[in-house]
Amino acid sequence: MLVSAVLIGVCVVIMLGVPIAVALGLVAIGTMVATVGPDLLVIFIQRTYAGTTSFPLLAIPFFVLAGNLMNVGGTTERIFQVAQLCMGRVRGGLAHVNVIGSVIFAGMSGSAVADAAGMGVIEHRAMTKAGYTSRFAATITAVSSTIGPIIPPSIPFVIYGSLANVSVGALFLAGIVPGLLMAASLMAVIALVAKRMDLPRGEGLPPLPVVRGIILRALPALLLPPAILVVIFTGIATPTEAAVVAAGYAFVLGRFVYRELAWSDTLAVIWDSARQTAQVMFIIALAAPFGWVLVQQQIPNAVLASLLTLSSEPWVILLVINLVLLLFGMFIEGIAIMIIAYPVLLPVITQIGVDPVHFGVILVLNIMIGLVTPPVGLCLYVMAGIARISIAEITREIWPYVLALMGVLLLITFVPAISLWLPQALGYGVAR
Amino acid sequence: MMRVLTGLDRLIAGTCKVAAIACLLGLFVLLALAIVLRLLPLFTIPGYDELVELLFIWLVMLTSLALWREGVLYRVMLFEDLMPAAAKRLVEIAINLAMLGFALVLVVYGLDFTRMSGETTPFLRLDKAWFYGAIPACAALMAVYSLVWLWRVATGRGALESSATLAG
Repeated sequence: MLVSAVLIGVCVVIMLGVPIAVALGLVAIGTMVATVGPDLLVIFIQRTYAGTTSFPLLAIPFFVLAGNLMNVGGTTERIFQVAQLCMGRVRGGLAHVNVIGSVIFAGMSGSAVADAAGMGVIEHRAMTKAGYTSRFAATITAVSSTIGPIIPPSIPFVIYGSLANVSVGALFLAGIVPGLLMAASLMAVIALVAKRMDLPRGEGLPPLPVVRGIILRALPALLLPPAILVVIFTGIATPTEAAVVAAGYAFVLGRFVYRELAWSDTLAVIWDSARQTAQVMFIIALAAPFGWVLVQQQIPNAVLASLLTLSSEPWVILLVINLVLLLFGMFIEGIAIMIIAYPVLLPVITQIGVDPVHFGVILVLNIMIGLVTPPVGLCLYVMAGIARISIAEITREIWPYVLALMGVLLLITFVPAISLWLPQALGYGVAR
Repeated sequence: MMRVLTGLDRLIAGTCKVAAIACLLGLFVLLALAIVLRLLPLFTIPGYDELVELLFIWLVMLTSLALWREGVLYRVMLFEDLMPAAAKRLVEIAINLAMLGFALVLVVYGLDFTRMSGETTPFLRLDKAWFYGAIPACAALMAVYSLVWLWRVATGRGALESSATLAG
């Protein structure tokens, strides 16, 4: 009874339009008052404070800052130019370039919405100029942006690692192959659609000196993704500190190398990044007491018992979890899903023998699919805003790509080695 | 009177902005220094963890206050957008009342928590009230802004908005 009241209650309060952070806080307060009385609400404050000041979460403002500095400082534009070189005269070339650009940007930013809002503007403009419909360009940009938080660095992995006490380094490594698989699956669908829709061919390679110039100009930016991984895995910096390296590097590139970042822009970017961070951090802060309440009321145990009545087969339970997460993803914002789901599902997946790192990849991929599924898909909204078209128009085009991403999700769910072999091979913090 | 309140509002908004930028830059400097000092251990940063914690809690609370003030905290508008104007206004009033109640809980119990702690940090000997106090201090202003929003919604002068989060 309490399980349903808390879990359904928080979803209803969120759907009614109460800000997500406040909804989590109100349900936690309500449950605490109903079960132990108002005297212990000081614990609510204590958990909120502890949830806010967790050290790994410091990565969030700096990865957001890095993404924003790259978008304003000209780095994103140069990444796109390099991606354009990769596809030559392939049919639907710029759509493929869009995906490749997102893969490269993913290695620097770790946020799907930063990709859609930054790279998205450049990609959409280039594609419509080359004769693609605005609707198609917006659709490809939205789906390709979901690769961002799967390939390291990744803000959702930082949040999951911090909440679930799982190695962020292992999660970063575990995301690399799934991220590349997502890109491959999207490019496969684009290749099929390109023939059917008779999409324009790419312009082909420019003369060699131009190619050399583009690569040389982009080289400092292209060094960032490997640099981030190297500083993390050689122990020079923790994943949190690596975010600072990324932000510092993005600033130096924009200000001193590409000279497109004015001092006045820098302050505006810092303030924007702080605000975007607060959108996430305020939710995380209130998620801490909410998670505490769930555990205190033994809600994860109740959910585990219910799931085990369905089947004791891990694959059935994982399938059910995926279906529930995908359904939630259509209506609720991703970080909120993660925060509601992890304390409930982590004991379940541990019980059925699924590695928490593997589950982290499954959880984040579900959330990413939620970003491009209507009616509540943030990347859809961002791209609809950039392309000045309706959500319904993008929605009509998006399903083949969403199905491809769901295919990757199933593959990753049932073949744990896709996520785990790399962290295991490098001996990096995986339990099994 | 209105001019004084507007001036006060601008002062709060400006202070939030400047202080939050300072906190973020302070964190950047501290974390960057920590990396450099790991490679070149010339000295240690006194009270590193304490300073990071202090700047981080104020950064989060001040920027959350800024979003609260502007009415752009992330929310799902699915059903509200489908409602007729009168029902929508009633829902907005209920949401703002809920937000006011929530902010007041943060103020009352946040103050209790701040008073009860009586701790100082181990290295810099800073009173922990400066850390914990960020929650009730910012929540008190959130409560004030909830009242402002209630008035605005009730008089038909505005409604809360939705804003995208960059975490996804």
